[in-house]
Amino acid sequence: MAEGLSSLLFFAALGAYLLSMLAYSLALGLRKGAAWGAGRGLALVGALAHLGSVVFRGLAAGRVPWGNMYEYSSLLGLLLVVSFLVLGRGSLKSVGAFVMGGAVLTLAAGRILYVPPGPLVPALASYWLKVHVLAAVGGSAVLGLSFFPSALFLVLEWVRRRARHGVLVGAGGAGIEAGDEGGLLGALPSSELLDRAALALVKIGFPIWTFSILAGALWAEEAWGRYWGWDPKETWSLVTWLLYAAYLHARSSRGWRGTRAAALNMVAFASLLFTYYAVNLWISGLHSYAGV
Amino acid sequence: MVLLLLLGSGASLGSFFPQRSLNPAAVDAYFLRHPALAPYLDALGLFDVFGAWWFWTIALLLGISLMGCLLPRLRAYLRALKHRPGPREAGPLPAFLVTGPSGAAPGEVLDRAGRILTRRGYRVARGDGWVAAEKGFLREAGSLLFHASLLALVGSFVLGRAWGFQGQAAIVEGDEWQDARVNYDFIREGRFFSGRFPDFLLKVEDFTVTYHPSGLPEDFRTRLEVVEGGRRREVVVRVNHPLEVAGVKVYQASYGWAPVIRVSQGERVLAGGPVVFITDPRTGVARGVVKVPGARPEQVGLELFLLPDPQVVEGVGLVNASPLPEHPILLFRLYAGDLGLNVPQSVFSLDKRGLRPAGDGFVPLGGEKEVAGVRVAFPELKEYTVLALTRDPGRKWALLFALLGLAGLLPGLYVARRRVWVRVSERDGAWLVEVAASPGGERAEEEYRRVAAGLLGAEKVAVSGRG
Repeated sequence: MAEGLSSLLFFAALGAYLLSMLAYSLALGLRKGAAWGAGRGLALVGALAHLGSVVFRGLAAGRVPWGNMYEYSSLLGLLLVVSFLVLGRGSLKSVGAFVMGGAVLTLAAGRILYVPPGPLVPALASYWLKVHVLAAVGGSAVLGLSFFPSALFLVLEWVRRRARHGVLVGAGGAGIEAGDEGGLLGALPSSELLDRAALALVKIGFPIWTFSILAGALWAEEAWGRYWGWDPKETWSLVTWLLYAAYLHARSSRGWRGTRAAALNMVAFASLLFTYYAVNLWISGLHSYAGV
Repeated sequence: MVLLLLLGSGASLGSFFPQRSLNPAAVDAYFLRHPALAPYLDALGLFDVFGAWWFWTIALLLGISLMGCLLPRLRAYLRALKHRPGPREAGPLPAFLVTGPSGAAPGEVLDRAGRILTRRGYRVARGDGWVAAEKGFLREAGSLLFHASLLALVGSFVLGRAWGFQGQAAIVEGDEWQDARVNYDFIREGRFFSGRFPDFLLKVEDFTVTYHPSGLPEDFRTRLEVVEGGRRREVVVRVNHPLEVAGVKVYQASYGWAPVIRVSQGERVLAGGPVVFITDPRTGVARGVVKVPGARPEQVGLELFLLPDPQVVEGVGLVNASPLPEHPILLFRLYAGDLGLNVPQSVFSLDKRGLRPAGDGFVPLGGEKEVAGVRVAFPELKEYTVLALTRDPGRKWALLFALLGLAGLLPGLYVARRRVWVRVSERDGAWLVEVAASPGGERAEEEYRRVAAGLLGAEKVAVSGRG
C-alpha cells in the first residue's frame, strides 16, 4: 500500500514540477507577477507531494528512504526544489524554469533506476547511512543549485556579447542590444546578481559536502577498516571537493569573477554529476554494492 | 589553485584505470587486453596512482605552497591581533561613505560612535578626532585553522599508513588464531611498521549468516573469544561493528564454507580437516582443492564443488538453489599423478600439468564415496570467517584534524571582515562627521548604514549611497 502511494505521489510531484517549469517559463516571457506566483505555488505543491512520496517510501521499506539510487535521486530532486524555494526566494526566481527542469530530469533519471522498496545489505545497515548519505544529498542539492545561476550567467554573457557585436557591425542583429531592457533580457536578473548568488550557494553547499566526506570516512573506518582507501567514490568526491575549493579560492584570493568563475563552477558541477551517476553506474567500487 | 586542479585531475585518473591496491586482478586483466600499452601506463604509475611519485609530488608541492602561505599569514594575523585598529588618513576611497554636519561636539559624536560599534562587536580604537573599528578576526583564524588542519590531516594519513598494517585472516569455526605475521593470509605492512604484533589470540566460536525472506543476507556475525594478556572475553564482530583489541581493529570482512573432508586409502587416513572453499557469488557454488601427496602409488589431488542446497532443474541440470545448507553435497573430481609441490603454489588450485583425471564422484553430508581406491568422506560442514585486521596509529589524529578543519571552515567562509572609520573635522566653521567603511556585500552595507544612521540620523543616511 505504502509503495503504491509513494509512487503515486512521486508522479504527482513530477507533474507539478513540470507545470511549475512551464509557469516559470511563461513568467520569463510574460513578466507577470501571477505567473511567478503560479510557478512557486506549483513547486511548493510538488515538493509537498514529493515529501509524502519519500516518507511513504521509508515506511514501505522500513528504514530511511535513501538506500539505493532511485531513493537517492528522488531525495536529491526534493532537496533541490526545497533549497531553491528556501534559498532562491526572490532574486533567483528567474532561474526557476531551469531549476524545475533540472528537478524533472533528476526525478525521471531516478525513476529509470527504480527498484521496489526492500531491506539493505548488512554493510549499509548503519546509522552512518543516515548521516553520510543525507549530507551527500543535501550538499549535492545546494551545490547543484549553484550551477543554475552560473549557467544562466554564461548564457546571458554570450547573448549580450552577440548583441553588442550585432550593434557594432550594424547587421540585422540589433534587435536585442544591450539597452533593450524591455525584452527577455530585462526579465532576467543582472549578471552580478547571478554571479553572487552562485558564490553564496557554493559557500553553503561546500561545508555540507565536506561534512559528508568526513562522515563517509568515519563510516568507512567502521565498515571497511580504513577511513580512506581511494575507492572511486571516495576519489571522485575528493575531486569534486577540490574543484569547489578551487572555485572558492579563485574568487577569494585571485579575484575571479564572472565568466571565468562561472566556467569553473561548470567544471565542478560536471564532476559532481560524475561522482554521483558515473561512479555508481560505470565504475565498480565498494560503493557499487549500494545497488542502482 | 593550479595545484588543486592538478591534484584533482591526477586523482581522477586513479578511477579510470584499475588500481593495484584495490583490485590487482583487474590490473592483470588490463595487461592481457592491452599488452602493448599497459607497460607504458604502468611506468607512469597509472595502476598505482595513489602511490605514484608524481601524485605525492603534487600533493607535497601543494603542502609546501600552503605552508609558505600559512606562515606569513599567521604572523600577520598575530600582529594584527596585537595592534589596535589605526586611523585612516589617506589611501583609496572606501566603498561606503557618509558625511554630514554634526550638531553635537566632536567628543560626544566619537563617544557615541564607539558605543555603537562596540555593541556591534567591533574592536574600537579612539584617537584625536577619529574612531577606527574592526571585526571579523574569526574569519582569518578559521581560515588558518582550516588550512593547517588540512595539512595535518594529510600528514596523519600518510604517517598512519607508514606506521600501520592491514591484513586479512580466514579462520574456520572452532579454530584458534594467533596474531603473528605468518598467520595472515594477506598482509600489507607500512614502511615504518615495527613488525611487533600485539600477540593476542582469537578463537572463533562460530559464524552465522542470517537471511531476509527474499534471500538477501541480513547480518553476518562472528562470535569470538579474545585472549589478550591472560584475560579472556567474549565478543561478537559484525559488519559495521568492529572489535578493538590491543590497538588493532578487527572487522568482519568475508566468509565462506569450510567442509570437513577426510581422504583415506584402506585404513590409512591421508588427509582430514576443514578445507577453506571459495564461493562463486553468482552461483552460490563453493570450490576447493585437497592435495594428498601421501597417496600411493601416485600423488592424488581433488577438485571439489560444494552445493549447500542442490536442486535439479529440468533442462539445466544441477544448480544451487539457496545459500542455506539444506542438503549439502560435495561433487569432486579425482586427479592422479604428480602434484608439482616442489614449487610453491596456491592452495586453491591444482597444477594439472602432471595430473590426469582418475574419476568423479559425489558425497552428501555425512556420507563417503570411494573412487579409484581413494575414499572421500564428508562428515561435517563448517563455515569460516574472514577477519580484516588493521592498525593505523594516525587514525585518531586524522579525526581530530578533520573536526578542527570543519570547525575552522565555517567562520572562514561566513564571518566577514569589516572595518569602519569615523572622523570628525572642522570645515567652514562647522563640525563635519565622516563615516567610511571597507567594501562588503549587501549585508555589510546594511550594517554600515545602520551605524551611520545611529550617528547622523536615518534621513541623512537614506539619501547617501556608495561613496
